[in-house]
Amino acid sequence: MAWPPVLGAPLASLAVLAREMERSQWLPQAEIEARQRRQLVAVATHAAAESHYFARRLASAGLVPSDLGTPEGLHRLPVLGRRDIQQAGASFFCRTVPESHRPLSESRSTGSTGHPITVQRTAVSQLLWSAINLRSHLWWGRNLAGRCAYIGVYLELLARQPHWGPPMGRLFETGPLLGIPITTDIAEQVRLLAEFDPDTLVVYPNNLDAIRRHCQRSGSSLSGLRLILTMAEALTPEIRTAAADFFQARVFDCYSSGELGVAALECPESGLYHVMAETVLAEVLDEAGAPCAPGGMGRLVLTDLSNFATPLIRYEPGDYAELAGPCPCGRGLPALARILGRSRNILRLPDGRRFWPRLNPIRYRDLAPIAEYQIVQSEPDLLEMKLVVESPLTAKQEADLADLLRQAVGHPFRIAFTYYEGEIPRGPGRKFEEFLCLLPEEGEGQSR
Amino acid sequence: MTESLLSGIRGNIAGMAWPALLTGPLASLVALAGELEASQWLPPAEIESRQYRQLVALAAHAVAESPQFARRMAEAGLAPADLGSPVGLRRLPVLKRREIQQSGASFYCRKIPEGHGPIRETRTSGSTGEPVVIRRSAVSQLFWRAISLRFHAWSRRNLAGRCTSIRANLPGVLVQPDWGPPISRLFETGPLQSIPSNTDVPELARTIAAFDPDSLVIMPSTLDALRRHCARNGVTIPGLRLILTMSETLTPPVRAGAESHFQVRVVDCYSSGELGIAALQCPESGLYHLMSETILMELLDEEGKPCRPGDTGRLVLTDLSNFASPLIRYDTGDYGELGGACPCGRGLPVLSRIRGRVRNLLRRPDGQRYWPRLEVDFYRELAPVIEHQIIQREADLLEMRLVVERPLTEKQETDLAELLRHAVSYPFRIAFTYYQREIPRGPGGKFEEFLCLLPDDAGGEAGKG
Repeated sequence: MAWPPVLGAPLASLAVLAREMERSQWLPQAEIEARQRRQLVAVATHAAAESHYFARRLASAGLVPSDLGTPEGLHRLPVLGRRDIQQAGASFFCRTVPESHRPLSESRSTGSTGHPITVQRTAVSQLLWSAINLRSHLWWGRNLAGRCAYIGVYLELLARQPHWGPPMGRLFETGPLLGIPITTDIAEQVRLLAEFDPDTLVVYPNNLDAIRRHCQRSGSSLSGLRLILTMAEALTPEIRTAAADFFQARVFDCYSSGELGVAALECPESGLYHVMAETVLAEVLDEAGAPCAPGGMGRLVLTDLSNFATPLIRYEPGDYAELAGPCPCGRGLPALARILGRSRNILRLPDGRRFWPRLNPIRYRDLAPIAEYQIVQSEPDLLEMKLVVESPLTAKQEADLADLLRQAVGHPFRIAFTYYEGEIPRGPGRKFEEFLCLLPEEGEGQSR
Repeated sequence: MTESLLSGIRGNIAGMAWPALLTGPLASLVALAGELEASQWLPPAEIESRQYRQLVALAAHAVAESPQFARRMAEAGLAPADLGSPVGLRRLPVLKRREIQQSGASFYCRKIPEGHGPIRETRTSGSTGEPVVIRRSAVSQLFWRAISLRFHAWSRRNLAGRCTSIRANLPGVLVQPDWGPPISRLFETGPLQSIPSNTDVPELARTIAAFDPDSLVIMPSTLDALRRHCARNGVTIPGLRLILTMSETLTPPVRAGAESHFQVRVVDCYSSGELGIAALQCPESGLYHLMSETILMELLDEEGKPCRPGDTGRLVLTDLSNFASPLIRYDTGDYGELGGACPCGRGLPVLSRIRGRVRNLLRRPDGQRYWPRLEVDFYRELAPVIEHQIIQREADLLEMRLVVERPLTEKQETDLAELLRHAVSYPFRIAFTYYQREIPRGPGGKFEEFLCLLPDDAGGEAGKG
């Protein structure tokens, strides 16, 4: 069939869902919420019957599944931390999963603690993930026929394909694809990218920043690049702006995790993050556990509405977000103004105050030949500045940097310097965080 | 419009209340319906270019798999790629029903591509009286269903409403809680009443009125008889909002009569057993849009040249999605009038009228009138009948006009007469008339499988096209 396309089962399911989501994004927010609540009761009813752990959680809170159909009812269910999942073991998962949700796949998600959790995801989760991927192409005006390069975390060898592969490659005529392992030296990444000349680059923010800096230093350019898509780490305004300006490309970000898939996509009009409400119900809670009002910053608590194998209901991934009001784009999908990464990225002052530090990295190179940096809070009054430098720093340069950092964070910390050859060691999953607080805390965060 | 219909679908995956997730054949159906929603708005030239691309793909398959089609192509000195333009296609002689009949198994494709199966057979009596068997692939059935969804959308049908459908080959009246799959799997539908098409008109009217449907699916000649009966006897169907007609020509008097009497919209489609739904009435203009995603239409004058807008000509259709039976340049035996661009803005080609395919009601000496079931599918099991036509000349006499492969025996005549009497449920006298090559056509070349020539006592003009 040359025309019109006739699709068999899995691709047809995807095409239908993608169209459905084209419509659902424009539903009024109240309507979306009502549908989410209905779906939440359906998933909770299944989970209460099939997951010992979830049944216990509900019973301990004195709840039955239908109680979760209202915001008040849902708030009565204590949130679920990553550690809870680790400790629950097999009793966490649903014993049986409806046939139409099969087959299952496992997603391991790395944590900063080195204790990964395993989540079972269903064919339905996978379908929604693919449909959201399609949505991202539409939102961000991606050229499907263009050349796409990605820096892959799980890639061991360089991958070259004539098209993007399923499902996109089956639904559309796509251009060629280049996959570069994230462990590849930055200079080599840049050389490969320049040779391939991609239209779209899919990359972690800090890797993007390293590429940009290398290009800037070496005078290389990626002239065909039009679109940069980032994920998995917090995209700071500095990294975004620097990349957009240097490459003259649009930068879009998404918020995703191995446990929940893509939970939010950047709005093509406003730059806010829209929650993928068709599969994720998001709550933003203040320190007391009460819902934040628009403008309020709080802990992100997420519920996967479509995973009938693993009840991720009121799951706290450890990220913070700022709730936004209605998005000017007109979509009814709830919006987050910012997603601020993990609690481990929050600075703690000795007096107990906590905030996301402004590190003022733009000025580091004005003071010293710094190639890469990371700030780690390993003691209450000590910040360790981990650096890769082009030439050894003088005592004056160290002192200036220390002053700048103290000023930026607004507290007279002691500052220690540690130097690395080549690059600063990455955490599990090759993710890089420019600031890391290693002071012990309840419910430590994990990967994004 | 299909879009607003599709926005209400429900999924078939357990536990998923929202969003609607579909798997299996229903997913294919809704994906295709969504695709058709977009394709109807393509510019005409783009639609045509896609059609010819698809035609070449189909012809390449059919040449390799159907001996009869390979012969047709070879005799015309054509290769599949030649059919990629209107000029090339016109070099292929049209295909008549009788050729299909005579080709036997060599007509069909020996194999169909992966993903097009399974195959189902449709026996069609056709309005021209030559029964043929068409094998339809799963893909071709999928198109039929997707276009049925388009029919629902265009006619703005209330799916939750009560529906009455007048259908052939039913043993009796059936009432079901929903409209049946696939539509009932995708939507909450109302109940469905099905009534055999050979039901006596007063009984038909009573049964429909008792059910009081929101929509009524009916053949035009039956609709006209129903309307006249209701008017004469004061029978009302108060809930009726929409009448959908098919299978026969809907003449302007029949449409106007029904619209003004029942005070409802009448929406028509042009369909056949061989090709499924080939054209639907436009919701905005009332013209007929060809279902170009699966049917390529040519309208030809007496010399076989393409008609211009405003001209009436023979409808020659190509089924672009049936890889089991190559219906390529198939002469439907129907006539249509070519329309210009439709004011609705859709790029689908337009017929301003579809003529032909009129059948009359049978009139029994006891006054009952109904659409006769002629059981033509079984004639060939009893005798070597090539073509048939039944004419009611006198109140108690049916004339069976036949073209046969060889003379019938007395036993064969007796068997046919008995079958016919049984089929029409009345002990008519039966007379046989034989023709050499074909049964003479009526004015305008039209052929009607059944023709009642008795004067109409109600003064109507039932069934004349």
